[in-house]
Amino acid sequence: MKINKIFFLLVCSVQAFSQNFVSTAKVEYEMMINTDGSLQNFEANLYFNNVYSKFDYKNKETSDKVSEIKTATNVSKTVIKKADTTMTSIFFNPVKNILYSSKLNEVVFEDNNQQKWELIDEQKVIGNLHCAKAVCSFRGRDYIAWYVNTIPVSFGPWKFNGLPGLIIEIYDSRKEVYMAVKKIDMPFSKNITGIDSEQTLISREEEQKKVAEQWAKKQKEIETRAKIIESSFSKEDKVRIKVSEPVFNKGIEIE
Amino acid sequence: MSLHAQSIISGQILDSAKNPIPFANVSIKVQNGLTIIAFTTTDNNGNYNLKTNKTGDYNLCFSALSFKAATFPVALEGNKNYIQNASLADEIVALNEVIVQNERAITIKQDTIIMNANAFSKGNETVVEDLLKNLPGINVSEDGTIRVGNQEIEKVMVEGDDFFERGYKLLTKNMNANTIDKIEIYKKYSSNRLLKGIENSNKVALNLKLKKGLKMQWFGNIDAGYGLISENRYETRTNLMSFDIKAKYYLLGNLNNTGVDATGDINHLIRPFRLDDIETLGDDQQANSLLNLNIMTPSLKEERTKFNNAEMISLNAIHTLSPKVKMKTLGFFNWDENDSFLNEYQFYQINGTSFTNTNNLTLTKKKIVGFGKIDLNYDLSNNKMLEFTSKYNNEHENGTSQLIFNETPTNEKLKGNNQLIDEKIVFTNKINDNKVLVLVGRCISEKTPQTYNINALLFPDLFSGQNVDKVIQQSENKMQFSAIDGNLLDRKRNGSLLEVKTGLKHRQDILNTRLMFQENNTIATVPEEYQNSGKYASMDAYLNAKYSYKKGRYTLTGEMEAHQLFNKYTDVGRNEKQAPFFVNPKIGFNIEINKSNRFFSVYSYNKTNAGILDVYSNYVLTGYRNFDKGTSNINQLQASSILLNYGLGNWGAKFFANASFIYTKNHDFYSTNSTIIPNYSQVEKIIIKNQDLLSVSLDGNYFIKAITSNFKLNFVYSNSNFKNVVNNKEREIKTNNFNYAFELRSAFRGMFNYHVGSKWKTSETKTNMINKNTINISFLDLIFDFNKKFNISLESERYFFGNLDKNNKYYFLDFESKYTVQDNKLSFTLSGKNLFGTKTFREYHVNDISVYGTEYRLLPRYVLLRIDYRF
Repeated sequence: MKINKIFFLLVCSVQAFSQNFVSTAKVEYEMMINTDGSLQNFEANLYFNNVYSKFDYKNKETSDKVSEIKTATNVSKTVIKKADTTMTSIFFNPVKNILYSSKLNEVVFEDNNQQKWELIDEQKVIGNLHCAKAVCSFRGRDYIAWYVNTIPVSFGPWKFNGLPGLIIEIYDSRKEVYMAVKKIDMPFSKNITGIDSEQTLISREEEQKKVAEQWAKKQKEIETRAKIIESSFSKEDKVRIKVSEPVFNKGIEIE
Repeated sequence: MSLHAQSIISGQILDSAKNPIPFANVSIKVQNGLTIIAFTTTDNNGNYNLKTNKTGDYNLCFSALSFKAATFPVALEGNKNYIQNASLADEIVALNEVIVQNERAITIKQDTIIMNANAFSKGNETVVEDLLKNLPGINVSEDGTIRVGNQEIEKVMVEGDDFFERGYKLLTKNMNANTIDKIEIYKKYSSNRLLKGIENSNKVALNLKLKKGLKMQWFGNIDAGYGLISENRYETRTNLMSFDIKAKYYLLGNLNNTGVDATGDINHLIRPFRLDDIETLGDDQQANSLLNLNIMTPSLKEERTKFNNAEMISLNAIHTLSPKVKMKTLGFFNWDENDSFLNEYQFYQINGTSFTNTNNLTLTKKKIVGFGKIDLNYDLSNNKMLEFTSKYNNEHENGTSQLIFNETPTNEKLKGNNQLIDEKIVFTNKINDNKVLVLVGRCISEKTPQTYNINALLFPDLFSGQNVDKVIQQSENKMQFSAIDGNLLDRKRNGSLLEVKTGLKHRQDILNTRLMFQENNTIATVPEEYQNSGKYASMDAYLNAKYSYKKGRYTLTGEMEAHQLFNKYTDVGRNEKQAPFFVNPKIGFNIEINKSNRFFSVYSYNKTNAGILDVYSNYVLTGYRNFDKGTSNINQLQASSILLNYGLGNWGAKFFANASFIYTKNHDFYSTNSTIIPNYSQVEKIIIKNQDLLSVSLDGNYFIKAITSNFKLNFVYSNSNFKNVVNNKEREIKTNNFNYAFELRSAFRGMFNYHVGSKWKTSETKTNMINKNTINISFLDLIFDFNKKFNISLESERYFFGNLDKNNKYYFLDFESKYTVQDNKLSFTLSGKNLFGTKTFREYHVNDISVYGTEYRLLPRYVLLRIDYRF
């Protein structure tokens, strides 16, 4: 008995960190991000049981996009857009109130305290579900969410959670981020694997610092490149090049 | 009365086995509905704690996944604590729900993205550019350039119509944002919608859809400038537009005396730029004007020597007559007066004799142009389209010049008129995704009558025994061109393209010239050999085939043109007929070895038929002391040429270079048999065999990281050999030209940038003596970008002529400074030109018979203050 109890405790703590669980439901989401003129479509799924949830998403693009640009002086520029097709997984641990974002070898953890929902007295029917409205501001965007009380879990797509029901549809005021349920399967039993011990764990503050440094470096690289290209035009061409605001800085989180 | 009427409800939720249910949903709902006023979840031990300020009767609900929900009524009185526990029974809920999506603020249809303007407007937008800045995926840079992602758009259309092409900023910076209902982004855009897919375009365009029911409003801008320290210099431009679903208008006005050619602003409307050569049938046909009062133009910026006084007004409209028919009209009037002041000097050395001619010329040219064009577009079906274009042009030119030729003062007058009527019809049929058929018909009728007179006989040796006080020449070239043409384009699956073209062209030229001498206001003499009444008709039946075969990195192109001509020339004493048949082949070969190495080569053999100006019979006065005549025989010229080009590196890379080599052998070519004596020259066109032309050019670019600047080097060598006859002696002429230039341009990211460069041109003409000439042009530009609102740029130039002893260096300084008070509303520009006050500019050239210098008077120093205001 004693040994069992110890074993049980040990397993519990490992589980709390690694997030392995058995799901009881699967929800397929339509996820679209439209921040640079090309609509990005993701394959997204939410798995949960009554304690834990895992949200997986992966870019649906299968090929690189190549475009040739011919300028007025008949110069050809080739732009290659590489699609990032690696899968990102977001684990929500309500026991510790921590969100884990896992991608390849890195896991970024953050406190799940920032979505301050305000419930609005408005209803909408989506499919066969009677949804109610809630709004919040989260990391630079204003979101409108429709949740259904009859599925009594506080989970939602991506990092969204904390409503008295499953989030069926959520979008921001600029319609640049859009997520909505396509299909719900309950029961759906599956062993969900959590975080691998091989992955490195860093806090979101550290990750933001790293990302900011990378973006600053990239912006500098692009400005330098643009100046170099401008300087290779001769006097007769009469060309000036200006670098626009960073196009690449727009993801889901703007602050 | 307590300030906080807060109730606290707490408890524990267990399952039927008395185990706590963690993270169960606890909510307080209104009794008759679904509205939740407070909620929380249970913790790891099943405990919850809920606070609310509301009082009244509510329902307390407990729910959790896989359990049956439980509801308890609760009466909240405020300032009270309640305990409510629950035990939930198991319940397996099965749910298989599929949801279909409906409408959004963004809709995607194949290659088009449609966005609703009011979903993205914040309420503070004034012009369209402000609205576009809010749209996801559209980037508007500081100067107003619009990009979708990082690709610049081709045009901004309004309800499918466009006036401006790449000049779209005129629209986006002036049109009101609140008139827009939807914004559409077209990807893979083609201007001829039926060539889409066959053309393989990657272009992007925007289309704005207007709100229905809005009244038409006029908007635009005015840019006015006036000289500060100089006499009466002005430059004004105004744009006015109005857009509606059925009718769109664009008005443009320009007044200036700063040497600017106003028609440059609307050139893309008069002659739309088309890359494909299918619809250009007849674009190369033009009537000729034989006489011109002055043909010398200096190698300076055009505005420096143009003393002008121009007014231009242009009105453009697009009307949608029906869903299938659209009509575009364009009209403009241009009045311009141009003055030039020249001093010419020519030193001839021919076959041992030498003499010098000097000329002082003051020329005034007044020109009035009226132009109108109508374009009708009829969409017959999804695959068939009919386009009809009609152009009318009428120009009057009146020039007077005062000459002092070798100290003899004289006056010339030239009156010219150009009348053009041009009709074109194009039928396009897209047979399937890879094949398109285009039929073109064109009819052009143009005439250029000219009347010239000069009040002295400068060449008495030619016409001895005359007492002439006026020489008059009347000339006219009447041209009639009609043609039909059929084109078939077939894009094969592997990317290869087959083009077949066949057609019939007919051109008729009538050349009437009459030279008369007047004595005391009556016509005294009409010299026989100086009259023409030639009629030249040429019919060309042709078949062209072009096939380009692409395999991996190689592309092989073969082209063949077969022509059957019927030529006829009639004049007094001349009746010539010919029916030559010939084939012109062309072979091209391209390899793209890798992204940094490209090679292409072309070999072609060309036989071209003569034009009217090459073959007319008798002399015509083409200048105050020049006579020209054609070969008097219809002929065709043959030439072979080979081109090789190698490219290394890529644009934007640290180092890239290009080398090219061209060799052309003209098996026959037009040379001249000239008689040149001090008072006149008579030039006859003759055909001589074998002219060689060789040209080699090298270009290199290297980015020097240490000084953050780009270094550019350019080298061109060309050599030509030919023969001509002067004063009855045949001579062999060899010319060598060397051009070498360098440029250094900075790429600093800060406030300051520079651009410096220098170009040397050496030309050498060898006959039995050698004439050499060296010119150097250098420049230095300094650019200061203080902040987003204020910038200054300075441009300085230096010209050096090696063959002149004195007055061989010229310096120029221009500056421009811009201050933006309010973006897209008001800005001020201060510009100064020719600040060093250089008054005259002298240029020096050599050819095979003379060395000549021309001195031009320059526009004096001026400083202009311009205001740009949007209304």
